[in-house]
Amino acid sequence: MLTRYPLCRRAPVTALLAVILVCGMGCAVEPARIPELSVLGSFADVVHGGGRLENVELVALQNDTLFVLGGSFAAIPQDSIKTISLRTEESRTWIVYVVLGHLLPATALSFSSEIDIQRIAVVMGGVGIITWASWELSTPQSVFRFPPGESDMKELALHLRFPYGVERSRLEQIDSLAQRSVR
Amino acid sequence: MRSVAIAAVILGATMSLPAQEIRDLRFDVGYGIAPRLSGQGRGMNGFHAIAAGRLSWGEVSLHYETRMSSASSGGYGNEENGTTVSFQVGTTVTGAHGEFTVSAGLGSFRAKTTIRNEYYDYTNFTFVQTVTTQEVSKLAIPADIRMCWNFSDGFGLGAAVLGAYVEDNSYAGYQVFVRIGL
Repeated sequence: MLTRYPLCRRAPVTALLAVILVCGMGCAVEPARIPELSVLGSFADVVHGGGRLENVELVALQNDTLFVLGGSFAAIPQDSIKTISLRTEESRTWIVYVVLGHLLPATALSFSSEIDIQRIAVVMGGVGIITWASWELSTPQSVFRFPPGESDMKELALHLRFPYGVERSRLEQIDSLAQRSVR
Repeated sequence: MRSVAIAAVILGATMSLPAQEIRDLRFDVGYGIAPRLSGQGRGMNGFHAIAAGRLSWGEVSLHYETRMSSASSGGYGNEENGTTVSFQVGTTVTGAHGEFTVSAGLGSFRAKTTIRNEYYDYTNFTFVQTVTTQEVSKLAIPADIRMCWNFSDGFGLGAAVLGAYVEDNSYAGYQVFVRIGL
């Protein structure tokens, strides 16, 4: 007479979990396939309280005011800015397949009422989310939410034509131009 | 009583936040699974809803999560349904398209559990099985990781792994959600 031990029944589940974990984490840390992210100058979309400005050049952020150059100069109070999204070019559609390769099966397994299968779904979902986050965070930041933190501000300064303290006279000139454009 | 006290603390903490400092309010509503971490039995399905706002030092959020089992009875302490209300703090990192959020906090866990007793009735010479239910209320230490793909400034879809440490009732769940941002 065969005797079934609980450990034997759970062994395939454990092995499957291990395979999923290794595959997922392997995909997440693979450095050779980090997608390229090229920033086209400092062009960006700016969402602020008054609307959305598309494809404008980030000129300067001075005296709590963001100066941008689109069809004309515009000065946007920093308090009203919600996000600055750099215009980027990306070629990494395959990331979507990898992430969905985790999330869709996890979602499908969620329809089961068996607790072991649900646990596998949770692990798969977790691996998918961590994979997704790893890729997202391994690329240069291209979306800045306001108010930005100190590190975000330094990162954003790299995309301004005139960072802080540089060519102050030009900034004043831009400021006066911007004020003229507002009038 | 402890649950009410915890809920009062959560509500007080939320109300005491300077509203003018909160930015980027967002609301997530999701559905999925949340099986318990220990023991056997049936899995659990449920949904969650959160309201979150960004502050200068991080993010605060109020979480509501409820889950239920398709089975009506089980072994001792088997959970039929459970609800966790929690207040969490966390941080959000914005990527090229998505937002990755990690948060943790404190909350109140309330559940209805079943107790099944089996004994031999020497009067009637038969096995007797009784199933009773009880309400339990415990402290919960929840934690979430969530990733949301933003399709526009105010709309996104995402997936979350959310769980909580609760004495004898810990669980971890996977849910997909819709995000509405203001």
